Amino acid sequence: MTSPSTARSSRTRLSRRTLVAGAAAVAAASSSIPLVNIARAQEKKEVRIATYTISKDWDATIQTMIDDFNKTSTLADAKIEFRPGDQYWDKIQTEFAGGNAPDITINQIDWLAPGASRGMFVDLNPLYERDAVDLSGLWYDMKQEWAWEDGMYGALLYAGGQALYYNKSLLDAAKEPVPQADWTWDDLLASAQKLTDPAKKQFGVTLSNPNPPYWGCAFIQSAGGSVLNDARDECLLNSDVSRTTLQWLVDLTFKHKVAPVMIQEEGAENPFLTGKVAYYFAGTWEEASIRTAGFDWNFLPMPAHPTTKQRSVQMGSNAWSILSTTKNEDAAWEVVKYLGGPNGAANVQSLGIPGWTSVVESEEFKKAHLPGDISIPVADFRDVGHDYYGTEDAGEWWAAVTQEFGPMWSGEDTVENATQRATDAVNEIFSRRGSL
Amino acid sequence: MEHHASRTGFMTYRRWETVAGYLFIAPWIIGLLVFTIGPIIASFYYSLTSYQLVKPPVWIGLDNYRRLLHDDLFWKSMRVTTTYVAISVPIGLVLSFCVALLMNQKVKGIGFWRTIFYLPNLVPLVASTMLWLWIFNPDYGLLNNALSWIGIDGPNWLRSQQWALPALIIMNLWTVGGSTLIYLAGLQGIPSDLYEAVEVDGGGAWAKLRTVTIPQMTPVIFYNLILGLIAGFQVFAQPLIMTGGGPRYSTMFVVLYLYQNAFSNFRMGYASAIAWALFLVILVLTILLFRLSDRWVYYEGDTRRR
Repeated sequence: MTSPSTARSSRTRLSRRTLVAGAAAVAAASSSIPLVNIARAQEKKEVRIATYTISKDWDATIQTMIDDFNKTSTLADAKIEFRPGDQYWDKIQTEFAGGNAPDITINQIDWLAPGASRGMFVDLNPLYERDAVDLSGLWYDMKQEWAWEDGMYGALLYAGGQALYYNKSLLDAAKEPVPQADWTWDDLLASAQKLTDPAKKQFGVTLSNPNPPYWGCAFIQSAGGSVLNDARDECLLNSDVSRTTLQWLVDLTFKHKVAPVMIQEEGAENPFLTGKVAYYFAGTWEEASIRTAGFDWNFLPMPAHPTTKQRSVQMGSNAWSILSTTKNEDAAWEVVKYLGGPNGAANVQSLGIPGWTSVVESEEFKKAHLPGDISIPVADFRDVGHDYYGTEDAGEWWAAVTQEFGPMWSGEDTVENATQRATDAVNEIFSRRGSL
Repeated sequence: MEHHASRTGFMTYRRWETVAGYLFIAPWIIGLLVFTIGPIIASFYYSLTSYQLVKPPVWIGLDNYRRLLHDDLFWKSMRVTTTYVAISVPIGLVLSFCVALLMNQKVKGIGFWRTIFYLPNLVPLVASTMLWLWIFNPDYGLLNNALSWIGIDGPNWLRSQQWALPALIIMNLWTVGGSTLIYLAGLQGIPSDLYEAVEVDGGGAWAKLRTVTIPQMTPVIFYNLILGLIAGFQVFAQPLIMTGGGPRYSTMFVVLYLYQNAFSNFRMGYASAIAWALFLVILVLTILLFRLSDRWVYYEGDTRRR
């Protein structure tokens, strides 16, 4: 039983306890209001990332990279969308116009200038500066391919571009020594002649795509020429240097007969993959196919021009870009910062050549590309890499050059005619800039 | 009063029937308005603007149409397309008609052959296009291999300015099965007493074909002609995949040129103007064919003077 006094006292104590508890509860509740707000503000924002699909390996690697990001990020919840490669860029533009584009897209150098010039991408420079991102660890100069006017519109996925492969099995069978690092075009031709065997339909050399802005450019640049002038408003394909160089390439097929007709249809057999070509000027992205081709192979440095002694290699990297329609720019930037940083790059080291020195110098990276010596294309990109002559009308003039050069590569027309027509067509396209 | 009430009831029922009818077809009407009429109107508006897709369109009046008149590539693409239509449509009509005549024979296993001839139409366009890329391959392709058996060194089909367009015409003939099926239905609808009348007159197979089959089939031929004309002017996927319009624009069809302007060069307004120009060409040719059809198309029961 409780006495009245005890009961009173107890009521008094209870009342005090209640008061204290109540005060504490009010204090806690009022103090938690901003905390809740902060928590709400820091709720992970969903970020849509679009990429085209290349292979199962590619998809799995990218998915792993995104999963890694999501484990540690407190700002963004990244969702990757794998899409077909056909008309990928067309669809992104349509989505952009319709206001339902993803926040981030994979980007190619041929889309950069047309997209950036029309305001499709977020300039990353202010974001790099705001977050004081240290880019000194990059061996790859991002400005070369991902800058447009004063902005930076991509964070590197991996560097890529022209790579020269050789079929070591063919060279060994012909007892042909592996070319030295200082080899020239003359050495290439001499070796290709020894490795050509018409009876077996075996050729010494081929270029996977000789049209500018692809691999033909590297030869023109090595010879001291250029496809466009410095201002990129005039085509120089009809210059003597360009014509002499292109004639040298055409002669590989029709005069020396050491190369097959270089332009092949979509879906046609790749003669290098079937072991019928010794030297193959192709892209770094073809390494995976070559790896499974069933012969011994390696990379080679680009040969130098016999007179100028210069070498050149065409770049062609991929990057992640934030689309300017994003409603979650900070969260999207968080994702891009990770994907383009050294941790993100380490994830894709088997797919291409990351831009970070720490990654490309790692043993893990080198092992991932064996039997190829990946340091060879890395050095070529770093030392003699050349961009793709990106302009806002790149797609249009590249297509015009491809059309005009077609008959030249198939031997139906002369280099002089084709280069003159291509030059006229490109200059006509440039003359229309700013109209319609 | 009673009469008035029933009349009102009747009207209400009629009105309800009308409303119900519209409700039933509403999905189709909405689809037509949103996905067909809307884009048609929008494309006409865009054709009067400079529209780069990711920026709002800017009104420029008839400038796109003026530029079209002086655009060499547009006229080149028109020539390529017209040549393709002028060659592939008549050949396709004759070939599919001949195949239909064969398929109309009462012989054992004819159902199998009808299926075989129609089968290419069921193959997805991209898949069949990839197949033809292999057939036309100059080194390893089926066609040049077959030509080599009779001593002909086949051309580099898709990389030759002279042969790329003929290659696409040959490829088009692979799908004559569709027209064949329509001809076959028409052939089976010809009354047998007409053939018996020819036999009574002493006519043979040729007389039957000339005096009965072809006249009776003219409405079907006309139908296939119109469809072939429209489809021919709209060819797109084959040159896109196989040649990209090359070499040197020798297979640059109008719709491919339209597509490149829209999605490669980001000139939606100009591409819309090309679409309207193409529409006008098809419209004029179709009207012309309808006018001329009075002279050669026979409709049973049509008593108009010819």
